[in-house]
Amino acid sequence: MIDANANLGNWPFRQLRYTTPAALLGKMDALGIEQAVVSSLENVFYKDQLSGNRQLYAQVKGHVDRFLPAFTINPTFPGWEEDLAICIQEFGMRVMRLHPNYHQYALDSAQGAAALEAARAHNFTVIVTTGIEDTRHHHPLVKVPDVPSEQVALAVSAFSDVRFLVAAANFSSITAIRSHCAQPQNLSFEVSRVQGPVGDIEKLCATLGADRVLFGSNLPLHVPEAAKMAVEHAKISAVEREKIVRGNAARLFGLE
Amino acid sequence: MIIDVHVHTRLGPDPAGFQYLLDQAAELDVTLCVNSLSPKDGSGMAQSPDLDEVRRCNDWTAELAAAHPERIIPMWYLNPAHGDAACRELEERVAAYSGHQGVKLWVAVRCNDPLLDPIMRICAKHKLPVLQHTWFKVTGNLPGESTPMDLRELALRHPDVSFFWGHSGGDYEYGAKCARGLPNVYMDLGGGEAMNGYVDLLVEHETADHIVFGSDAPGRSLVSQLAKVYGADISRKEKEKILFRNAQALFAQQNLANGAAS
Ligand SMILES: [Zn+2]
Repeated sequence: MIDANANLGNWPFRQLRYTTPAALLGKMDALGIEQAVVSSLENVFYKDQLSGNRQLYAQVKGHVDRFLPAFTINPTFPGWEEDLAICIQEFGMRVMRLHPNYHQYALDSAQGAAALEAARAHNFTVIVTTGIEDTRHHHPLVKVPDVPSEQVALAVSAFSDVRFLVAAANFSSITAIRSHCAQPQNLSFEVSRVQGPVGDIEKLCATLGADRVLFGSNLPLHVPEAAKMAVEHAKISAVEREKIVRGNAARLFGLE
Repeated sequence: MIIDVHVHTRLGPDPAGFQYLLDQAAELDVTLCVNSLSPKDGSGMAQSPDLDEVRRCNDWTAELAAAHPERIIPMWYLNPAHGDAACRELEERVAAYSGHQGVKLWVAVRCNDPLLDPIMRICAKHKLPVLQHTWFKVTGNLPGESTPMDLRELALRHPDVSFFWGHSGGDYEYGAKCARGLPNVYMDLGGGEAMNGYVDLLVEHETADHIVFGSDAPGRSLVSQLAKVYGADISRKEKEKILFRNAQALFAQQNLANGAAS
């Protein structure tokens, strides 16, 4: 299995298991997850993304067979383009992670477009995290609405040659994003926060196509068993299941 | 075996979800404690339904329980604002049903309201567990929506009633602290996302003796909610208590109490 959406590091609001490379690898081993696309969880809140990205690189470089780093870029922060160049030259960046809601820009704004232009120029796969956890549970001082579906759809349409993975969206926001996209050939979703309704994976395969659905855990914020069991118990074909747990991610992230 | 204390008949106007759920419950050996918050014809899901709507909700629950007695435990839905009429509705449902059963309260009235007291006395008499919805939403609660703090008050006032603590408080970190030390409450795991550490925290504060499995299906999938239990760092014995033993023991008291056949 390939986990298309995981994180390393701590979260400001509660203690979590599986925040270190060793602990995450242990959990992956227990569940049969060979590889994970990982980002810095701290970078949701760090202002200086380079520091989080540097730490991420240090954590994953001893485990290149298990971790593919997705470096977080904030196109509103001074010097982000120089920092991006460091991620490319020093860290071998291939995947870009964006948090438009936590970093306070619209994905379809000039700033969002600048990040996506860079992704296009460097042929990155772009992970857009649209809502990292249930907004009802947010800290009272840090209430962050999900990235609006229309913004995602506009960006995906405007950058039709960029490969997008929407991460940590629930079923209704996946449905909304999909409904706003006319030609979503370049858009995939991972299922960590889908978690219903009953028949969710079957419905996503029917509406998006199994080629667009990826297994993801959103570790360490969620338990990976949720997405794993959802895919295992879904009434879909073996071919579809294989695409979801491995094939689609291998293709999207060039892991073959 | 698994007992799911938190299941609804319907998700929106589409009845297909419940059949999917029945099939999966058969596959995974899950007993479903079912409540209807909307009538079978799909009309409305009022936050404070009138008596006619409540009856039509319960008619549907009764119909499903009669059709699947081996799979379904009915949870009678009530609106405490109806006063004596709510009590009569409950007494009539209990008299007419011979198997295990319970009560569901949602968002009509905040549960610390004295309006609930007459209903609680009936629940104590028949040993009916009460699934009371709770949520503490940082984004704001509905007017009649109970917080975990409200349920703590109710549970203290009615020590002879067992409560399934809906959604473990919604924000389970609030719920875990509000339920601490109460002997008559059982944290319902259903509805929230399968967050890392959810069950572990509840076990720390309530122990596995005071947690029951709930899914909030069909809005949530059964398996994503089961994952909360399977993904917890607790013993197999603790998982069994949560998945069925605690709920089984509560419903077993009904046989002793009123001789109902299951
Ligand atoms: Zn519910």
